[in-house]
Amino acid sequence: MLEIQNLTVHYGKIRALDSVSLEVKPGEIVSLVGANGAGKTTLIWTIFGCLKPTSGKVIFEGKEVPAKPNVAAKMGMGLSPERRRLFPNLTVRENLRMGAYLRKDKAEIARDEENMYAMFPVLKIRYTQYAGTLSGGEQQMLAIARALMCRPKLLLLDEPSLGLSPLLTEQLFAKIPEVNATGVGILLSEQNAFKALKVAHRAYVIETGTIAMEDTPQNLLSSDHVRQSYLGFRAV
Amino acid sequence: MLLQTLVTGLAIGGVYALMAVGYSLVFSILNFSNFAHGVIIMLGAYFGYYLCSSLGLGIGASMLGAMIGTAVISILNEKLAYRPLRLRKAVPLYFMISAMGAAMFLENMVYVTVGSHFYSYPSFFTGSISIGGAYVGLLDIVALSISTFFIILLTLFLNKTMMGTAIRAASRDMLVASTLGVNIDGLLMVVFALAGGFAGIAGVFLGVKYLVYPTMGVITNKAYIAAVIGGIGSLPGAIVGGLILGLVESFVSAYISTTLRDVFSFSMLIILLLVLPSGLFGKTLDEKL
Repeated sequence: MLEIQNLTVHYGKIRALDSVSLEVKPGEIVSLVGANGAGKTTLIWTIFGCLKPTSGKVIFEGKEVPAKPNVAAKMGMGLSPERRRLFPNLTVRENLRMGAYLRKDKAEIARDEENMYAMFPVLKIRYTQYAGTLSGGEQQMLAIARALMCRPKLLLLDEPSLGLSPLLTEQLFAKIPEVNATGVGILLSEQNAFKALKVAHRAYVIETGTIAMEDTPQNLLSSDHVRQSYLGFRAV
Repeated sequence: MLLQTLVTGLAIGGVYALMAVGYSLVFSILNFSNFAHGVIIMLGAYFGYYLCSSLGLGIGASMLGAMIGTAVISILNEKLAYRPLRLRKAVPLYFMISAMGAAMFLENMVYVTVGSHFYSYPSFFTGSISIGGAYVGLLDIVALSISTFFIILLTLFLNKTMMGTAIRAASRDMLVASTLGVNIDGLLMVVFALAGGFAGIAGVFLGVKYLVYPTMGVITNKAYIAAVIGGIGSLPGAIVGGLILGLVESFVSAYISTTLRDVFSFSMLIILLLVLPSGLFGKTLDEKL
């Protein structure tokens, strides 16, 4: 459903991504693993049309995604951005409603809102509170729920574990297959390689702006390179 | 005397608030001080003047016409002077310079086309009514009621509608708002139409109360002060700032000295900024990692 062909992105003169190609098939969970500064977030923002690539294409369901994020949303992509980026001056409920900005079906929106509260019960308790007053974990749940409120066909999840305790990370990652089971494709960009590989159907390893490896999580988890660079194992 | 001064202060304050709201709305989204706003208020005064004196329309219709006129000018101002900068991701300083350029352009357009004459509106609301022994100007009461009405309408719009929620969301994070499907060009059209419409009403009130002339936009520096006192970018701040400024001016004029009026307003601004650098209701950064 998502196909990225030879994507190159520059920040001024600095090349952040170099000819990256990647694919997410319908119903798949694909993880994008890499160190800080490897280009994961740049890739996510470019897919969503927030950054203009120097060359290459992003194709979603057969159509090229233009460099306009609101069009990417209309095409059926949802984004839970790095560092959450909620609207702190809006309530939890208003943040969710913003997620459904493009939808007109009032009854369905209300039902989806209830679904989000069922998936993340703490949001129900806090729904009249300003998003800025939530804890880090609650904010991450709200960021994901906000992205799901647009009923995306593909969810881009950028660094959901950032700043969360191991326990919260565990709980949050348990939700990923749950969301996927409703038919949503997921592209997960994550520094925590072990967690990201455990949850994925397929994964890419990104290093200094290029795709270094692509394989099944099982193979990557047993590869020496991944074990040494990302999972903290020493070379034997 | 007290009641009269109070109503006059609130009426001037209400008009300041109308103007300050325009500064704050634009600042909250684009993070720059739109110094073309004062000139748009001046144009509103001219539009209203021509509609009522040349076409002989009533004050209500003239005000509506002025609002539409300034809303259109304000939208064009954004499209021609700010949008190209937005697309190039320019820093706020460039927007401010572009705003000053737009202001000079529009002011000189008035000199070239209309000239530098002073015009006065036909007389509207000249009477006064007596409340508890004090005489309160009818114009003041009308100005206060109409500003209150429009400010309530705006508050409802921003808090109860989806577009209003999107404007509040975009004021914190325009990029993320656009990833949820908000068309930023469309949203800014609404924001500038609102700021422009409010400028039109304020311009007509200023014209009726004082005179119409090309540099009358200077009065709106006071509205900018009001916006800064309240905390620029904040809507309640603009309203409270406008009312405080109006009251201070009216009480200083009545009880101390008319000539000291502006000295008081500017001193108040400086002292307030020393104590509260971001104004009364200023934006604070409260992002959590």
